[in-house]
Amino acid sequence: MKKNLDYYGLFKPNSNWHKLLLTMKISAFLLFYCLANIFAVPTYSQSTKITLNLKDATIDDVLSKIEDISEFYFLFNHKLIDVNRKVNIDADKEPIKNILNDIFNDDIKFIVYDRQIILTPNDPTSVSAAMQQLKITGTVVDQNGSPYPGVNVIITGTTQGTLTDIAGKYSIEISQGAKSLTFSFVGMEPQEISIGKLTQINVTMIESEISLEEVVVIGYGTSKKSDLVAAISSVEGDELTNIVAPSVGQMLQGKAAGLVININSAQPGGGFSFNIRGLASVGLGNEPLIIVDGYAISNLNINPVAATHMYGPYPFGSVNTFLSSVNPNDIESIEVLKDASATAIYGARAGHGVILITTKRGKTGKMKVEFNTSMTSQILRRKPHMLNGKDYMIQGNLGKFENYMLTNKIFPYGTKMFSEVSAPFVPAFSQEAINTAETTDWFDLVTRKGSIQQHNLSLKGGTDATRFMFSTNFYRNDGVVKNNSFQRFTGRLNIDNKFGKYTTGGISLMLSQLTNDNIIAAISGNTAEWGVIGNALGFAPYLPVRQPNGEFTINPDYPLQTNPVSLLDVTNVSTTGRVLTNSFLQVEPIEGLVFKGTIGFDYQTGQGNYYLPTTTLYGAKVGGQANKSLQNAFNWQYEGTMNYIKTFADAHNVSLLLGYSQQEFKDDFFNAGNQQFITDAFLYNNLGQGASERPDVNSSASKHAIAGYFTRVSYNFKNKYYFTGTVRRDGSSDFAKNYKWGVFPSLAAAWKINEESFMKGIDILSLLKLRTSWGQTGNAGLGGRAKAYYGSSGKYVFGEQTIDLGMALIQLANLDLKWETTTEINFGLDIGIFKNRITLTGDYFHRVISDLMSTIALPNYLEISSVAANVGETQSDGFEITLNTVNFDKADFSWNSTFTASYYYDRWKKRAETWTPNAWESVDDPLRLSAGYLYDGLIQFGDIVPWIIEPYPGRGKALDIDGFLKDAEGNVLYDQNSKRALKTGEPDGKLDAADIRIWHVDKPYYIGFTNTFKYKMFDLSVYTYGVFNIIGSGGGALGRDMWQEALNVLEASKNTWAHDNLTGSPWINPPSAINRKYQQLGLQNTSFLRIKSVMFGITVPKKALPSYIGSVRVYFDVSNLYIFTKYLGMDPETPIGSRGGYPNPRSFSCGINVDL
Amino acid sequence: MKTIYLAYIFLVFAFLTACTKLERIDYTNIEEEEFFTTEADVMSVLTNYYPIGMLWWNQYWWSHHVGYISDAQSDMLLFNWINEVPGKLHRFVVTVNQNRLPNIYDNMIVKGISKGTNLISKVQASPLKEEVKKSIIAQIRALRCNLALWGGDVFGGVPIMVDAEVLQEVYGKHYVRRSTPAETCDFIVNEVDAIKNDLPDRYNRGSKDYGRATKGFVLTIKLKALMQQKRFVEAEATAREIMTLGYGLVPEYHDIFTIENEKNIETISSIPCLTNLDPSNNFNCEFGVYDYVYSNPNITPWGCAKMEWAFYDTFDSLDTRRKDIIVDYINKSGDHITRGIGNLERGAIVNLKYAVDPAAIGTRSGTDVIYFRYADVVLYLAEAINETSGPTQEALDLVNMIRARAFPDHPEKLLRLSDYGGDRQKFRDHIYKERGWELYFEGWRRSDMIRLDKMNDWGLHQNPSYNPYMQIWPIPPYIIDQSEGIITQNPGY
Repeated sequence: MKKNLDYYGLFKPNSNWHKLLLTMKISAFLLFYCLANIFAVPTYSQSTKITLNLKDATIDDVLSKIEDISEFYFLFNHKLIDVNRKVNIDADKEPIKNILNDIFNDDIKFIVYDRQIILTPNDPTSVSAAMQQLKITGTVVDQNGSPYPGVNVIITGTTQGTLTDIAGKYSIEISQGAKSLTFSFVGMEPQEISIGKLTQINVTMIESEISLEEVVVIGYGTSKKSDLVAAISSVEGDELTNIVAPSVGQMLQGKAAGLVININSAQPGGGFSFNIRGLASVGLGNEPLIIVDGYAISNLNINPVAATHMYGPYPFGSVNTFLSSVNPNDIESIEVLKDASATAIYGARAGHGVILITTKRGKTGKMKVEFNTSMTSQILRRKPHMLNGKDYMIQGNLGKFENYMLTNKIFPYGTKMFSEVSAPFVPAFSQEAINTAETTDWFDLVTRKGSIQQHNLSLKGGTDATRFMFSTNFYRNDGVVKNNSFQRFTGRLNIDNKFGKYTTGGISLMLSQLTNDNIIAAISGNTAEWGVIGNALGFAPYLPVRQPNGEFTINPDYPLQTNPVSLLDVTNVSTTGRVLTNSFLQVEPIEGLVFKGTIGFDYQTGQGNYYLPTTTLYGAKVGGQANKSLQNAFNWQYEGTMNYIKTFADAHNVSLLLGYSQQEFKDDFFNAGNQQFITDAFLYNNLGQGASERPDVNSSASKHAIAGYFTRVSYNFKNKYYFTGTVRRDGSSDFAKNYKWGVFPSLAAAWKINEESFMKGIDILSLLKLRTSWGQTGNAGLGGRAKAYYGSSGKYVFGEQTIDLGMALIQLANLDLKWETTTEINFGLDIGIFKNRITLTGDYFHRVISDLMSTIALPNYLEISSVAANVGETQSDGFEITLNTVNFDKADFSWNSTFTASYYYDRWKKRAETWTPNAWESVDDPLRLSAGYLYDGLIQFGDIVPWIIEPYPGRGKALDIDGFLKDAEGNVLYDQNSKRALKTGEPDGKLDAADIRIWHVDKPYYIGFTNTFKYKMFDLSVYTYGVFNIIGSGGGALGRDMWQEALNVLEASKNTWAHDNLTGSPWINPPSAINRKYQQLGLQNTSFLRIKSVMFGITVPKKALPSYIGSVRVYFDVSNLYIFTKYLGMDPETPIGSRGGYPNPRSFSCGINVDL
Repeated sequence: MKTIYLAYIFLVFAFLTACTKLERIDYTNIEEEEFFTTEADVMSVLTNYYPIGMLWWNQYWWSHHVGYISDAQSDMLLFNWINEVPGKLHRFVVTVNQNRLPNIYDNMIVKGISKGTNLISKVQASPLKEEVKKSIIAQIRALRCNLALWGGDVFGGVPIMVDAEVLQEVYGKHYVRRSTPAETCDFIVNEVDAIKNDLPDRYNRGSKDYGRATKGFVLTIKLKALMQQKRFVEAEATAREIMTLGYGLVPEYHDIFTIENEKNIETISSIPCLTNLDPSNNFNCEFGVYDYVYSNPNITPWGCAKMEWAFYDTFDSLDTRRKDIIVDYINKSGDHITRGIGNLERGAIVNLKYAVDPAAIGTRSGTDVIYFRYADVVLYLAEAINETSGPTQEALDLVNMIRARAFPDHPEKLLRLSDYGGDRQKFRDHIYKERGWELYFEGWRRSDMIRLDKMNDWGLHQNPSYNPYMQIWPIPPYIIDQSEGIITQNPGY
């Protein structure tokens, strides 16, 4: 039924593709406009005006003062320039040239080179004859081979020097005594090259690897990494694009300690969920707030069809999170704000941390063009070995025979002999059928080799006044399951402009279009609802795909199960377009004081198309079902901030932030559908041709708003003692009148011990900092739960075929509902050793979430079973470690390692007042645990286990270890205080809740370990990620009833328990089929360590390239190379449910990066 | 200094915009205060209450009123998936932790009764005309009685919350104990007597209100409650009252269950079904088998349940009521399937009791599901008369009304008083059998077996560790925990 849908979404009229084209045209225009501006813009020296009033000061003083108040700096030789001469200056907003002319009176020549000023004596004769001039020229390039302008070239040991020009070229005159030149630039390794007899020296600048002076983005500002008071992890964009992975989410796994990313489904464009420091909210989401270039992403994604799950029993795979729409190549850095000191500035929505995504912006200098393309091939691994057709029949017969013996009580199940049973045994499959059995490999029929292609182009450049960055990206992944794909277009334009002296402004614009061709990927639930993968594993292998008449085969023994190949015919294509833009204007009227206003909007519009053909079991039920839905989500945000930074008396560094923010949201949804089509050929493109008496039509809409005021004061004394305080007051439309506003404060302090005088002697320690913070934040995502609503519910037919529509109370009001509050304490330690070649950051946190926004169960006799309420408290403890080491750092060979580890443990602290504990529960239980009867092997012949109903041999045996205390009438007695049923502690001959024990508590820890090697032109990066101490259920096709439900099982199940195989495994035969109730059997350790990516790159030597190409790097990558795990199913990361999660494929990629 | 002005403008702009309105609007739902103001509002709430009150139970493999599940506990209905509720009921191995039963007890019956009570008080407070209110309230009370009837029958009684004020106290805990079956019966009798005259006797086919509660409907509820409690004198009177309402028998048994004959004279109450709506009639699907060739090829049979061969064998071979039971057929592949092999290995196939709806699609057929019918009342009356003064000729005549239809060309099959010679038990046993043949798979076998004391033999046959307490289903333990013991478990569990 698929009609070349692959590119369908792109070329249909009025699709978002047209919008994208238009945007590209606009972008191109803006781009050329910017280029035209590059050479028409005044330089820093022309535009900067200096005000200086000094009396009787030495020239040396004057120069240092100028260096202080401006960005100018001076290079000169003290021997040649007399800087001790005293001068008077009274300049009011004069250009630098005028001031220098005044003080030097023609005796000194000066050359102004942007911010750098070189002073030389005007009289050449004053230069000593010994200093015979010699000229050295050369070119400085960066690691990619691109020219590097602005590099300081200094004769070592002097202040004499020059700068490279825009082509990276320099020319310097040296005296004969000079031995070497030093090349330096901020953020780059300084290099000293001896001159010898060279007249040309070319240098490649290398980024300095070990710098704690890097700047990290914090909420509404930036901070030097060494000055951080809060717990923030930062991931550079380069670390992401060094990995070939489907999305930013997968790239981030294990990269930032404390940020956990769970892949819900590894299908193309598959969804994943984030959490920072645990999942301790029980009623609301645990997702962090994502901020992109200052814009708060509240509606992470829309997904018009799949999100509703309202059509038939087949749920679709989970797709699309916000990060699906982000082009990884655009990311400059991702900051993960973890503790309350970092997050409280975002107040009510920051209760689970904040992820700040900063995109790349243009830089002054030559335009840089980067082109990146890669191709990937994907294969599935760990395919489960299921029974073949013949074995399935044999096992089926054996199972049925076992059941025959059991039900007829034939020895040893009973006392009868075969001859005493009147009804003969009828095998399910005849010997002839077994002899001629064929095998259909359903799994192979629904899977294929997957592929990914990705192309990225970006342009960056700018002048002092205008800088821009433009990029466009295409990504397409055809999944390892047939008819499953994901496609993404993104475009980005970032512009920054300086308007005159005080004002700057800019925009960030992101456009994206996502197309998901989704598959049915149910991972749990009834067999009838299983997805393609689960059904392919479980469908009877002896059956052919189709019957002679062309119809899909249905398993006659289990007609509820859908033919897996027929499920491929289901079409679910959704297309989502997004425009996210944020513009700012900022004014700096006096130095250090910045007013900034930003305004932006996030608009998503999506169309879902769904067709369930009559060739599927449920499609046949309704005569084909088609749906088209439209969904819009719009929100806009306005923010105004004031920031003031000032240093007093060289010691007191103060910064103050004040701000206001508001965001308004509007969402709407529309869906139309029909059933009973005469043909499947229309898909969803001719809804009117359906004959349903009552076609689906529905629509909905809502709006809400939030607003907040915030302030932050930071103070540090001599970069030694740091204090930060923030307060945010947030309001939300989701609460009743008296509880609309909440206040979220935080306090933090840090102490840089290594700056203390008593530490001065300890050279190996370059940083030792203690941090601590306390603060409160809130949790968003409430929905309108404060009000009581009547909504549509139920239909009934009165009279002749007239359908009456029902309404019912669907929600009770809670006018006392208030913010859920996260209170967090953090202790952190930063250590740097050997000039920061080894850095270690460790954090411990304790988090309490109080006023948990959840629902309380109302007394069961009430019409509505629950109401939204603030209930109880949870707590989380955990730690995070990040260790960076530079193991080797030679010119030819370098080896860097990054190790992250994080751990959290979520527990209850206080329960709701209405909480009634189950017999095995205690007040401070972990949030996630599995509990049940304790499994005690199989019942063997002769075992007497009266507490088990139907205690047949071969069934699982649970332990009777406890019983309830009862009164004379047999009613359970309760403890009046704890409201818990009282237990005797003695077996009572009954298997009931008293016998349930906790099997396992979920306390996972996560590690990431990345090693990067560089040897000459080669680079190698190995990235591993692991999750430990977790238990999942299901092992992929274990423990289902083959005989009962006619499902296929693992080959290993041949060794199943039977009357003649008493040591067999408790798997498939009829008596033990009931074992699936004892789920402890099905629990498996799903811990794993995955080699996520091994990437090998070769940078083509510059001399092998033509001059117009800056650099070329070719790379090869293997993703998901190997997984270490005890788990028996396909993928421990996506095992949810008994089977059929979409596994991570193994991918082989090759790609090329070209810089022009 | 101009820059400072610019900064001021910024500040003013920043803080003036702070006047955003913090209000959420949900355009799709109606806030409680704005509802219950018009008759249409009230009628829509009543519509919502109907499927609840009729105990429509929708699982992916089973979509009928709750009576059909209770049939699984009888000697008639054999459920294929032995680990699902019906399979376990059939083997008498249900435990307190059985899934799906809490849904019936809590969400359907207990909450349904409370919802009815809430609605009554809200309708009373609404600005509607008194007669309109009276009719609506009578319907709600009728449905509430139906819920109480089932609560008493399968769970041995549920708490019947009739105090609307208590139900307004969302945060209070006002658990009341479960009414005993006898109290439940009293409640039903009082309620029905109070409302029966506010309801029309019956609706004719074509009436726009067909499907709403009628006097016939509530009196049948009362009759069933009285029969369960063996209050035969009142039961007899009630049955006679129903006899006066104008119901009759459809001439041919088969025609009761066809789409052409929906809303026939025999039907006291039915659940209206459409092919594209819940409720839809899934009978052909649930009891059908995959390899049977149906007149409508769009039917998707699932083969959930069969009729026990032992029960099938009790039918008289001339009985036309077993005509639609499949015991021999040529399947899709052309194989001849007979008793003992393939889909006839374990039981007979009964799916054609409801004739195939030519417009049925998949599992959904549009034939209304019969809930109460006149033949049931006739047999009850015969039984009640027998219990009070029988066997009498009148009681025999009532049974013969049914038998005459079942054996149209065999007057010798009619019962004769001389055959019973005053043996009440003998006639009681016959009525039990007759009810089984007449009403098979309509949801009443379990209560018949209990009332007529047949359940114990059957239970022991099914499970050597059977105990009479297993006739009544267990109360979900979480309910008992929540109520801190005010709700008690049925004895034995």
